[in-house]
Amino acid sequence: MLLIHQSPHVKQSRLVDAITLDDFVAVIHVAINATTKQWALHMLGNSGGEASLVLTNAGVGLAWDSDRKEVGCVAAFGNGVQMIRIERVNTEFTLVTLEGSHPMPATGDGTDGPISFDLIGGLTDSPGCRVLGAAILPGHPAAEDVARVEVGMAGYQLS
Amino acid sequence: MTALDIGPINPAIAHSQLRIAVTVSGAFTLWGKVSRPSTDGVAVLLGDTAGSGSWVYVSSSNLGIAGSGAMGSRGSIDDGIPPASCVFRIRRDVDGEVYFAWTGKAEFVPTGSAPNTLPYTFDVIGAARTEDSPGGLDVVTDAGCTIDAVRIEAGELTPAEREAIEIELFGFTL
Repeated sequence: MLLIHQSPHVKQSRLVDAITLDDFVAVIHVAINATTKQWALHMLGNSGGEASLVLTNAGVGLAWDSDRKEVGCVAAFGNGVQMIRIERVNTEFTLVTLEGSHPMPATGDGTDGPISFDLIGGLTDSPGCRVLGAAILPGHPAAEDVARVEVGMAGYQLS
Repeated sequence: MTALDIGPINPAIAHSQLRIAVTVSGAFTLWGKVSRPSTDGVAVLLGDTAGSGSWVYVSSSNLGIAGSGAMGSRGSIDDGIPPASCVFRIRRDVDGEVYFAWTGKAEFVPTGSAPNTLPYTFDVIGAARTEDSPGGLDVVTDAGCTIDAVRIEAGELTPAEREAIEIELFGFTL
């Protein structure tokens, strides 16, 4: 498992070693204080441009394999500190928020193959948008392990 | 005034881009905590991608701080090298004189350029651009070396204030 708490002073952190995933659970803690209606925050990325997990005012998108493969979920996000969870089981992706679970259907050319991340946060994120923390749990972690991470990160657990 | 205070830093992080660059002119005190598997490793505490040439590092030959042009550089090359894992302090007084100290070594004046109070600018932890022009990183911390904590205080601190910060950050004083 990888758990990174990112200082508010830090815009983007690059990992020593990229983490490559098939099935996984990712928990991201973000702070949104956007000054515009439309905003975007790169939560996880790959320095080779091979993958990115992006939160915007309109939803969550995950692209990999140099953007050929992509999933997404339309959901309204407003300002505030919030935690989201992305789960991958085989080729099925799910977004979990405080409001519940939302499937992330394919929006690109397939949903298979490994995904590799080595960046936390982005250099071009909208002003006021920050990644406070990211946890990546490879495989199929037990629900109680995920809950422990979430409570440690944000003080509560998602459903 | 605290200009930057980051730590503990996860050892899985190679380098981090700061949201806002930190510039310190005149007097300041800077602390770094680094871990290296041996004294051969290079750990870049701070750098700047915007082309100021500012950087702070520990290498196999010295602890150093450098800037571009008239700022010059200061290094411990005549006074030894810090232990592989150490806490170090770099302090500049109001007259521009620089003082180094690290775990187990009392404060001393490092070798190098004449005292000056020109500004250092830092916008990245764990890497640097040493060229005098904007661009990508050209020096990064060696694999296996980690930057554990960084603190910068702008202005002149009293010895008691320095000690209080060191106790808070590291649990001991230099």
